[in-house]
Amino acid sequence: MVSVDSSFQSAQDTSSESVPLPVKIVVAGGYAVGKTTFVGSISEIDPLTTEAALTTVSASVDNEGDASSKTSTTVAMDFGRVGLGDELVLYLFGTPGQDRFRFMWDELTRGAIGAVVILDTRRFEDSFGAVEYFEQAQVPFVVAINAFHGELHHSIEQVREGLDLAPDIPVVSTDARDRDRTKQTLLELVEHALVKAQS
Amino acid sequence: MTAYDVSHDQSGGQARPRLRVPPYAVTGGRTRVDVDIPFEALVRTTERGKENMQLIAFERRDILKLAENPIAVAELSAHLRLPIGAIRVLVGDLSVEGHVQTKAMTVKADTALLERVRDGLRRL
Repeated sequence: MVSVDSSFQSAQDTSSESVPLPVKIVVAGGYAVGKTTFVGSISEIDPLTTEAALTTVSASVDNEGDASSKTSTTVAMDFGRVGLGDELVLYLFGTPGQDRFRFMWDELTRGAIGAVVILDTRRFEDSFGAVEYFEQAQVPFVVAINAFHGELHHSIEQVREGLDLAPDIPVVSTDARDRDRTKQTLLELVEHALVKAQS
Repeated sequence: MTAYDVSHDQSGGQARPRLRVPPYAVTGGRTRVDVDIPFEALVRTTERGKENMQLIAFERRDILKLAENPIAVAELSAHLRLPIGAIRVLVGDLSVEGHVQTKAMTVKADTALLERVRDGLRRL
């Protein structure tokens, strides 16, 4: 473990307040499944959008002809922020929806507490990719069924079976529009990450 | 604890009072700086950055102004409408110059930190 350096407040910086520690949770799932709604329901700011320009990587993915010209695709990510007291700030990052931006996930999951995979049970094959990714990357995750209008089209057991989830992966129902349900879902993830960290 | 100041020299030597250079900048140069700063890293303008603000122009100055209170790299990108990669390069340079400090998780969260996050969420 790397320790916090006590000389962080050095002679060069005499301001008294310290910088909180940012922590991160990744919010994944298929296109238009409610990721930004989920982030926005608990964020203390309206979700913001940041763009990453892709050059070298997209050249191999997107270029069909001239390999020497770099394409400049941009990938947008929505994110929000939740202050957790004076010392911690939680950032919630929505993953880019399309599969071809999967490589961005390495970047996004680096240092993350874990991930919430949001699922629409009418199209739950959309979440296969995310589940597979987090399993392989050994990132703690929970699957959250976004129950639009309170309807679950499949039972939690059917989802677990359909996604071929390991028995220890929590599957919960949520409502991305509801702050308290979102908070409960994030708590499920943190509890799960705690169990993983202790094992 | 599971975090460190990414602008801090971890070589084990004496703390450098004037300018602490991140280890990747010493060996890898600027191109490494831009990939190593996480999206959620918090940036804060140092006293030195505030003193030198009038000497610094364009986006670099915008960053110093916005980072008077801690602000994430991704937030800088959103507010300044610049791609996150560009912000990383600018923040990396400002950090090497001692004009900003950055702070982020660089290792997996341990149980103590996860408990603090859990308790913080419960209090919301």
